[in-house]
Amino acid sequence: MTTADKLRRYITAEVVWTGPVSDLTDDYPLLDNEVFDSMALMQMLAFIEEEFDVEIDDVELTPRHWRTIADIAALVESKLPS
Amino acid sequence: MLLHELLEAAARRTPRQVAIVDGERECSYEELDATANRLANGLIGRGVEPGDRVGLHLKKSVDAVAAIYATLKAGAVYVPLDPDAPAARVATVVDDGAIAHVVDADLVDRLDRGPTDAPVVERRPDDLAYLLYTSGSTGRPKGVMLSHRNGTAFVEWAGREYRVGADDRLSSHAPLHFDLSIFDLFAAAAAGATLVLVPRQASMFPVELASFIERRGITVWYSVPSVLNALVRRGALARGALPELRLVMFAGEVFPTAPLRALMAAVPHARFANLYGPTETNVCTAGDVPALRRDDDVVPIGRPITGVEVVAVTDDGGLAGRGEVGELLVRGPTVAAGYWGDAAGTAARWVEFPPGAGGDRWYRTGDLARTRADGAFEFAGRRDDQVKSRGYRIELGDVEHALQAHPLVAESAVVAVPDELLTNRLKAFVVATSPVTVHELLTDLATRLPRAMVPTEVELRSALPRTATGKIDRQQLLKEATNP
Repeated sequence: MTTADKLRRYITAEVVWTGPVSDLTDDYPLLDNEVFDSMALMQMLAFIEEEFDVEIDDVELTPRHWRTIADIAALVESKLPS
Repeated sequence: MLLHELLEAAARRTPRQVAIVDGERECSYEELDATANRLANGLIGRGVEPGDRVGLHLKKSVDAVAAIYATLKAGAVYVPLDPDAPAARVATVVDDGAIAHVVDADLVDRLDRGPTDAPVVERRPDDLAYLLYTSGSTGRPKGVMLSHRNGTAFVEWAGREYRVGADDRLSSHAPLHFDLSIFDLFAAAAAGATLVLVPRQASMFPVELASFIERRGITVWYSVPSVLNALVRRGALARGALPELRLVMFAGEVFPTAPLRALMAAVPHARFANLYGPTETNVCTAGDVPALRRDDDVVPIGRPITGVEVVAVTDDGGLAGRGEVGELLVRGPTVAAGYWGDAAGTAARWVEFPPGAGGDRWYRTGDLARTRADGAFEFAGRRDDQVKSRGYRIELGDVEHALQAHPLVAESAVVAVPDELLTNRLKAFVVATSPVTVHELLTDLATRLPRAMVPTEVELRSALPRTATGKIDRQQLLKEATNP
């Protein structure tokens, strides 16, 4: 399963995603469509840090890295050992 | 004094002063008052009569604030409808409140064309000003009836206690259907101060929130603790951050001591105040946070505010002595008159004390508190199944009721699992009559409940554990959810 798939599975299971799972594409605008509220974002952050064993810096918690699943996956993958 | 007279007085005193900052838009007191007058005349033109409930289905904005004042100027009762709640939930409130007029963004545009003269409507301080809907244990939200006097009594006290002045810039973080907004809106107007609307995206990202507070020169912050908790944990605050912030007020739930201590250390120049009060009481106790030395120090909820009586009553009906725990009963000018259209619910919660004593009734909060030697109270939990999650007040029965509405749900139980960041997170245990996925259940719930009430976790079971008397064993479920 790719990083993006793991993130997608988390969002459909834990964050309230009310649409069909197939609509949640890698470039679906998560922030513009208000998929998260502040607490859902904090919980997803905790999930990512545990699931991928990475640390997200406070300053990386900005809209730039969280607009889409692809953005978040890129952030996560930049921290994984190659 | 009426709530909208606070705005009118500020518009006369300081017409050019900025009343609201909404993104790049700044709105002066003169402009806000004029807009509110036009909208009020528009509402009256559409048949709104004194005492009518007017639903406001608007995102927080200059227009939404103007619509609040317009409703009050028309002599009507404003009912903020959660713009993020599902349509079915909003419809329940509209039905319960017998709301004949709902203002949305389109209607604001159409109403904003009338004359700018203030309408002449006779209203008294004890007339209803707003209804705030909260979660009800039977699955129907309850409308708390608050008068102009209930609002102004709190706001006048807060303005004095916290020395809110025209130079202050107050945050508006809480949504308008949440009672923290009463301070934001009306304490700002009373002082002729500036209200800065906090955009959703800034409050999602702690580093952005810190920079927003700093850039916008916010001097007074008021919110639920969870936002401040995220700010101190992930906001990259250096010591001495947010230099203009002079007062941090929080309410709605317990602020865990460790992050509160960390925040006080990062912002040592600010005064920190804990305010307490269910929606039915506005705010009834308050106190400054004392110096915290350890992470297990208890932060009291403070002493009764001016003019308000608060007592702790033990199970045997007597007053709790020093160090004892009792249920808090409250009466005074900030306390609501009851629940809209619910005489039985009102009679159950507004009681005589001692029974048969006559006089003004006391509101039974259902909150337990310990009485301290210095007269302050310490929060000690709930008597019933009401819980707090990220500051939202949630009846577990309300969530179970919504789950049960799904055709494939045979049985469900919802428990509140303590959580460092959210205070509580909700976990649902569900027995289904035929196969169903968690995603289907969550999707269905999201059409019935506001987001804060949707469980973060759902577990499907073939059966739920029972107590000896055959009831669902919620203690057992809570134990399993807490230590999986």
